[in-house]
Amino acid sequence: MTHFIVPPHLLRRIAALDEESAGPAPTAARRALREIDDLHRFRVAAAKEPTVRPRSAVAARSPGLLAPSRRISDAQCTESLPGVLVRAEGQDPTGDPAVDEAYEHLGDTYRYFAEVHGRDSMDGLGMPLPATVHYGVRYENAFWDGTRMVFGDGDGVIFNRFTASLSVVAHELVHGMTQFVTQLSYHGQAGAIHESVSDVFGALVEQYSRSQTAGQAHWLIGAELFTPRVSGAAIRSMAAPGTAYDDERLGRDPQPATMDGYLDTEEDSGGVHLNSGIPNHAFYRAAVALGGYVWEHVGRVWYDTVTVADLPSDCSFSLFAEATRTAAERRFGSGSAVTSAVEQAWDEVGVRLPGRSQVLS
Amino acid sequence: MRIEVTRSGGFAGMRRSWSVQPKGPDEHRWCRLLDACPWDEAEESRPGAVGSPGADRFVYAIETPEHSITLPESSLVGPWRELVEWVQASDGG
Ligand SMILES: [Zn+2]
Repeated sequence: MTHFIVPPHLLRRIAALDEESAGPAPTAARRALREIDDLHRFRVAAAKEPTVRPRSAVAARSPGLLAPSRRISDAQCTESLPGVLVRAEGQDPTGDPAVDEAYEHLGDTYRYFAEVHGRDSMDGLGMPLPATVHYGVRYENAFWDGTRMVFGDGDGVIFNRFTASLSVVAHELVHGMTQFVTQLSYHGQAGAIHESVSDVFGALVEQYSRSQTAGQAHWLIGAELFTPRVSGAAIRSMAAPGTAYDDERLGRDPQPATMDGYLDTEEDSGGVHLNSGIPNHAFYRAAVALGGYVWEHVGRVWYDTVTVADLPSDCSFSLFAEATRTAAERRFGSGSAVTSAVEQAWDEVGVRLPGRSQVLS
Repeated sequence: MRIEVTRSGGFAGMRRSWSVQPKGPDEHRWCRLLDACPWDEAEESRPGAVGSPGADRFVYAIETPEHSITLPESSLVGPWRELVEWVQASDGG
């Protein structure tokens, strides 16, 4: 077994250093980090084979030992990042709802990945969870900037503060995870998969924290974001994409649920927040077909797909669908109910799986 | 003359647009704003540049009679920002 003398958090710091001032160390650190990553992928793959390796053998990934390291900063209504650190791991609530919601919701998200998937933070190596709240003035958005999660307070007319929603906070953290474990570009179908993965786990984190089954969950993303003045339930609906809101100022939710409604556009980085409705709905279909706790079946399939399958940067919906089928077969067996539900779901949203004959009308 | 700003993307993926059609003496002030923007330098980084690291950021498309450009939110600084904010303010914010 490979052992690394320099702990990963130090490697990450060294890897971020400038080559000119630090010599060859950053390159070496980056190489070591890649090796750790490969090793982690191997462990994840090995942990999936219950007959080969019982769960207790994966001692290093015992959920009891995993703990988050949250760092919440306050941009104080400016747009400069990171802002002032206001609550670090283990510190008491501040009384500022945005700060405390970010802290709690990041904790819920961390707990989901640790307890369900044995994953230690976004990179699988326990990296801190940095978030900034009170970004900008009446800023109506939340984003992942490549290194941290950033939340605006909303305009108060249409949008509440973005930290109010667990699915939104989880969505942003998962963007970080997807960036660490895949090559997916943030454009077109690959970008829509990026988006969908964030929604899928946003929903799962919420369901897990509320102990909800597929049938009990509302399958909404950002249900807490709209003020009462808006005619809408949430930003997106995985159960019925295109129906989350219908408001005179905002218009109608533009998401398609199937390939028939696929939107070809250059806006929104090639429609990443629009066409994500299609893989979102496929996930939902498979989940409700199986019922029960979704993180125990389709959630695992999606997690394996993102963390183990080597998705290319320009991954198409078809390729992603194929990767989910492979992941389902590996974990649950090719004739299993889970694999069938996944195949059926992709068929229902009109994404063609290679080797599966489509019903022609 | 017509100047249109379209914002897409963001977590919510909602499209919003603002426009102005300056006339008379007003046109002068708008021309100065447009001239201050580095259209040619920014345009070169256009096709893939919107995919700068991160996710859920806004994307701004700016259309004028002479130019059309798509900028990631992170590039919306200096004269670009001034231009976009003026268009938004002139069209109800
Ligand atoms: Zn997103």
